[in-house]
Amino acid sequence: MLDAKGVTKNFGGVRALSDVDFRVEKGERLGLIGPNGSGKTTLLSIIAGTIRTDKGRLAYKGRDITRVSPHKRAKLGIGRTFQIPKPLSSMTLLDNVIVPLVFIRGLHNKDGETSDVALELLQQVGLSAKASLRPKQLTQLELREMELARALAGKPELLLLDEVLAGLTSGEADDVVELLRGLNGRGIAIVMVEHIMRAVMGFSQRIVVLDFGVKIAEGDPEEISNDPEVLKAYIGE
Amino acid sequence: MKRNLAPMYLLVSLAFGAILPVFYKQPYFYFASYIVLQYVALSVAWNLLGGYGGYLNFGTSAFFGVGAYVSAYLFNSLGIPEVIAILAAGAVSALFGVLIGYSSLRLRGVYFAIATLAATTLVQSIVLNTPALGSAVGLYIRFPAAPAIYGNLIELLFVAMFGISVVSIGLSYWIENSWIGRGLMALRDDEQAAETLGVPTFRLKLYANVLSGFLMGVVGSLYPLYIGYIEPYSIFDLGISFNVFVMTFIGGIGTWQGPIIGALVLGSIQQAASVTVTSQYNLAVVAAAMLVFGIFSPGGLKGIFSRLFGKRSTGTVN
Ligand SMILES: Nc1ncnc2c1ncn2[C@@H]1O[C@H](COP(=O)(O)OP(=O)(O)OP(=O)(O)O)[C@@H](O)[C@H]1O
Ligand SMILES: [Mg+2]
Repeated sequence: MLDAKGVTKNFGGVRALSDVDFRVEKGERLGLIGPNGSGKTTLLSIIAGTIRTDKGRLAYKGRDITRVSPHKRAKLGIGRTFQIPKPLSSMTLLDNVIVPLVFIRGLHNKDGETSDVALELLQQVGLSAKASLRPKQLTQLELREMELARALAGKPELLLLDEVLAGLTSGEADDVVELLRGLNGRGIAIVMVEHIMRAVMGFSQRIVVLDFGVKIAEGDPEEISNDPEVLKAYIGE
Repeated sequence: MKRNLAPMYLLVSLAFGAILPVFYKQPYFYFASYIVLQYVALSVAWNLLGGYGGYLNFGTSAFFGVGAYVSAYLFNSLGIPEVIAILAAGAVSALFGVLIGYSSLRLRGVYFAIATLAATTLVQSIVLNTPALGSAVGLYIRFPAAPAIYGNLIELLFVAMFGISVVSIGLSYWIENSWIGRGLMALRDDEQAAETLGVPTFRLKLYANVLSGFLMGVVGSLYPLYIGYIEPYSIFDLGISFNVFVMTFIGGIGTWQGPIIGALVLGSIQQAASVTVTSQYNLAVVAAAMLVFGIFSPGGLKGIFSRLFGKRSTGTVN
């Protein structure tokens, strides 16, 4: 459903991504891993459209989206969370979730029903009790859960998750993974960027490994965990 | 104010403004109130993009001036009826908003702010070099006759500016509570997050700039009739832009009430000061107020009122 070819990104002198090919199949659970600074977040941003690729092309559901703006990609069904949460700080948590309901799903701005849907989404991530609070009253962890609720609000078909499990206790992480499996069961493709190996290996059907902006390995979790290149990247020389 | 009551408030206010001069005869009152109301309308218009969207326009006088010159030219040289001249002035000013918007609203806010400043200088120098617009000498305006119901032109102008203010406030209230306002506030908070959540950020900024420009142009279009003579230095005066920014800031930026409160309070002080002391201190009054509020109450007067009466101080939607 997503087919990115030759994705390349330079930030000044830093080469964040070099000629990366990246495919996601419909309904797939894909893990995207790599050491710090290897380009995972940059790749997600290029797929979501907030960063433009220097070279290469992106196609989504057979349509070229290389130059399509992020809000249109959101409407086409690409949702993402931010690794460092980006709350809309002047709005309550509920309003944060209402924004995508209005702009992606086209629900009515001031409808009671729209609020109900938003509240339900917050409930899914365990935040319904905090719906009327402002982002600055929440912990970093709660903001990451808000990120997930907002991304789900757009009813994405391709969901890009940037370390949503980081900092969760293993019990909480299991809850989120179960939620994600449920979503995936309904046909949503999920790309999971994660440092917690146990979680990402358990969740993913296929894994892509980046190192210094280069795709160094691709395969099922079993293959990846025995790949000497990957071990070298993680352990260092 | 409940939503379903809003149109009624609007109509009652309009009727009040239209009838007032029939009963209350006091030329100075209308002369001074006109300027205060002009600042109310300009500040409310400014707040649409600056307050909700967070993109600061320092070129209010450019939009205002485009409106003033378009209408003055149409009245004088072509003898076009006033109402049409006013709408044409708004339209040209809106178009001006499209141009500035297209060139700078894709970039970060600071580029837009600079572009609006530059635009002020640009239109000023275009007027200075256009003989048909009076160049540096300026244009004298042929006054139209006031309709019989009002005793003189200033009463009519007061009524018109009152109406423009009320309509601007109504528009602002509607935007604040609609999806447009929600989108603008979202992009003000975080533009990348807003885009990712489906907000067409560029389009909304452009809408706000164009509507804001239209209203500023309409406000400007009446000024030649009020003052009788326009020239580029007093029309494209950065002082106007500065006033509007500070009034909105002090009243409470990003809320529909804020710019009204700020313009009424500061505008009245300025008018009173220019009678009792001298108008030379107008900008000083505003600058001092800006410093005091910047330090002690970033939420502005609206924030203070809200705290006193226990309401929220930000302009977010529920
Ligand atoms: N906006 C930017 N400007 C300049 N350099 C950037 C920018 N974003 C990322 N980089 C650089 O690009 C490289 C890849 O960064 P990226 O955030 O994509 O890595 P990551 O794999 O997500 O890392 P982490 O695991 O720490 O989140 C890094 O060297 C980073 O410093
Ligand atoms: Mg990252």
